[in-house]
Amino acid sequence: MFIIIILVFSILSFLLGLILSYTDYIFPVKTEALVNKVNDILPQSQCAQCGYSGCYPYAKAIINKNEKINKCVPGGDDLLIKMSKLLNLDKNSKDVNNHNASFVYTKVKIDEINCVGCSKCVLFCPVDAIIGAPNFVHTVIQNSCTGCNICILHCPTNCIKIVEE
Amino acid sequence: MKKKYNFSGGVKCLPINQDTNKYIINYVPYPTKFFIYVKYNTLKKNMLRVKINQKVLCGEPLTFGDSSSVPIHSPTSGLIENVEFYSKHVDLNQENIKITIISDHLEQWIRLKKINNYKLYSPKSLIKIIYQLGIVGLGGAQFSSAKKLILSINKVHTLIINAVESDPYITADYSLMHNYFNEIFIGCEIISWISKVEKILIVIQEDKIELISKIQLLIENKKLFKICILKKKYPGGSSKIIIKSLTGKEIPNGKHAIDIGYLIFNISTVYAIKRAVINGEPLIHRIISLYDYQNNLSKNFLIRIGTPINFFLNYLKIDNNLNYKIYLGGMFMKDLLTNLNYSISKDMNSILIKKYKKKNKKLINYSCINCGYCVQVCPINLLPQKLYLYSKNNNHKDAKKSYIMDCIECRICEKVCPSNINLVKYFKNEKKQQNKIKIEINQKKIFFDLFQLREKRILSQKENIYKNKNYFNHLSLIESNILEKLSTKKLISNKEIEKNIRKEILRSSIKRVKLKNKIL
Ligand code: SF4
Ligand code: SF4
Ligand code: SF4
Ligand code: SF4
Repeated sequence: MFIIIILVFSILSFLLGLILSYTDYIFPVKTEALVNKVNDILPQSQCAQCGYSGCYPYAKAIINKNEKINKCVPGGDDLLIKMSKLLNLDKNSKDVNNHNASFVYTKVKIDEINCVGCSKCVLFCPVDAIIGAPNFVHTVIQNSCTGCNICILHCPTNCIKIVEE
Repeated sequence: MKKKYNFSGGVKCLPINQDTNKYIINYVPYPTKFFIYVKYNTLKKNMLRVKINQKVLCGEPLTFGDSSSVPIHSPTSGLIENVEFYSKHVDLNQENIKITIISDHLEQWIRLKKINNYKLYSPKSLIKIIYQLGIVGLGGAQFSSAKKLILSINKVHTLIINAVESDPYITADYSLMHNYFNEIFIGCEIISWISKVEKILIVIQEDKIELISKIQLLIENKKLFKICILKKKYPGGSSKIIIKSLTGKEIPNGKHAIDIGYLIFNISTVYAIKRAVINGEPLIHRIISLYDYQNNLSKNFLIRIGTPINFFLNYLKIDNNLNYKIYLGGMFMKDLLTNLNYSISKDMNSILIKKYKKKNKKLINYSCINCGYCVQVCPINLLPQKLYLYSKNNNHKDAKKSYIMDCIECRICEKVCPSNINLVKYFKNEKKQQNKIKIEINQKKIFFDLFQLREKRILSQKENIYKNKNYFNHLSLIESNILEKLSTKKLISNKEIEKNIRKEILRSSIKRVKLKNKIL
């Protein structure tokens, strides 16, 4: 009697497991692809103004944690509309809070006379665009600077300047 | 008669009276001042090789080339007067470097390295010679010929010699063939020897009857060569159209003719290659045809690159007052010249002079009526009316899907449009936008990759620290050696000293900056 019950339940659970894995195979969870899609339309300046460490973590949070979509400042209204189209959300007028913020790629440049080589900016640059060793002059690789201006906040001698592209 | 190749679309143009003196190449005296414009890119710098007030000889290279640009040579012997930034006459956003050379009229050449038997050299060294002597495609694209040849090795089976004038009223290529056909022949052989092609097709338009018979006599007992006759139509000069009409194959979007096995060279490029390899001459002159509407001054001129257009017109006694409008390019693909100090460059093949007419009534641009005339004439089977709609409404995605980047800006659709829409103006704008979008997407990709790399790096760093911490803790627990402890203490104190020094430097620098700000 006891053995039969155990057998029945084990077989049942085995079958159910099969069905579950099968359904998972047929209807795979597509969150990863969606995250990439959202990430593609984000401006990729990695400025962390949305409260996450970069655009990709923010995209992840939007998909996985139901984060609000209006937190990206550089993206502006354009991004909001695009995003609501992509995610099939109704565009709420409440969401549109950052008017006229249009995204421009600017770059920064280090004024090499005043750079003391504290290497603080290097630590904070989200794309590793600044190179230099401690106590030597640092410089910005123009090709990989996203213009997020994080480094400006951390420079103790105020020697980082914005260059319009 | 042989089979005539044709292509869909295009417009037939009226034959013009064929003056025999048109095909004679005329010479222009050398000006005192040459202006040379070098394209300047921030990413790919054309490094300058000369300084102000330096003496140069004729044929001396002025710049270093790189993978995408070839060196540029001095067209005269003389003194470099000035090197400055200068924006181009058409596109004001594009920065150029302008080099001014004062000629001393002595024509002192650098020593030219002549080669009698090119077959003694390997293809690589021949390509290097072609690169160093600054040969670019003279049909208009200015693509480095050396690069084309490098790409073509082991890839192409047919060499196409493009002798089709892109514009019906330009005769520069014709006059070149008329006068120097033997040299062009040698040029073809050099190219075929470098890239090992099996066939050489010479493409020519049907109205050059005299020349065709001449070529046929020459190539009678040469297996490699073949002549192809193209119908006289506009436009015919583009490589896309030539390949389509000869073979029926289309170049896939974003690819080059080389990728489907065809190497295509303009006839004047072939001539320049011959001069470079055999005679060792750098590319410092080219043939330009002048087409004049009223005065019948239409002629072909052998002219040094860098000759100011102003000087050229003065020599021809064309006073550049407001009665004339001067265009670069032919009847269809013309660009209005706004700066007469602009000089002859490598990609120019004709100058057009037109009498200025005061327009009585403004041409009104109506809206598109979907008549479809433009679709019928487009030589590369695009849908101009759709492209127009997309580019007008900033619909970049659909515009790209309709292959706007394939448009060769031949302006035929504009000519036939009954509503007088400036179609090409829209297309040019849209193309610029497309390029911008492409760059932005690329940049985004780079930024994202960099960001991810950094995240990875930080993660591994954290892991390392964590591991090491455990390791040290472990150590201190097992072997509590006093000596070791002392040494670590010493290290710490060293570090602290360093820190203090840095802090000191910082403080002083902050002070300095503050002082500066106060002074300012
Ligand atoms: S706010 Fe900055 S980090 Fe956040 S998504 Fe927008 S650009 Fe990226
Ligand atoms: S260099 Fe400065 S502005 Fe540029 S990406 Fe790095 S932190 Fe941002
Ligand atoms: S300008 Fe472009 S779209 Fe118009 S006919 Fe020429 S190739 Fe076709
Ligand atoms: S020819 Fe002009 S009016 Fe006719 S379909 Fe083309 S763009 Fe429209």
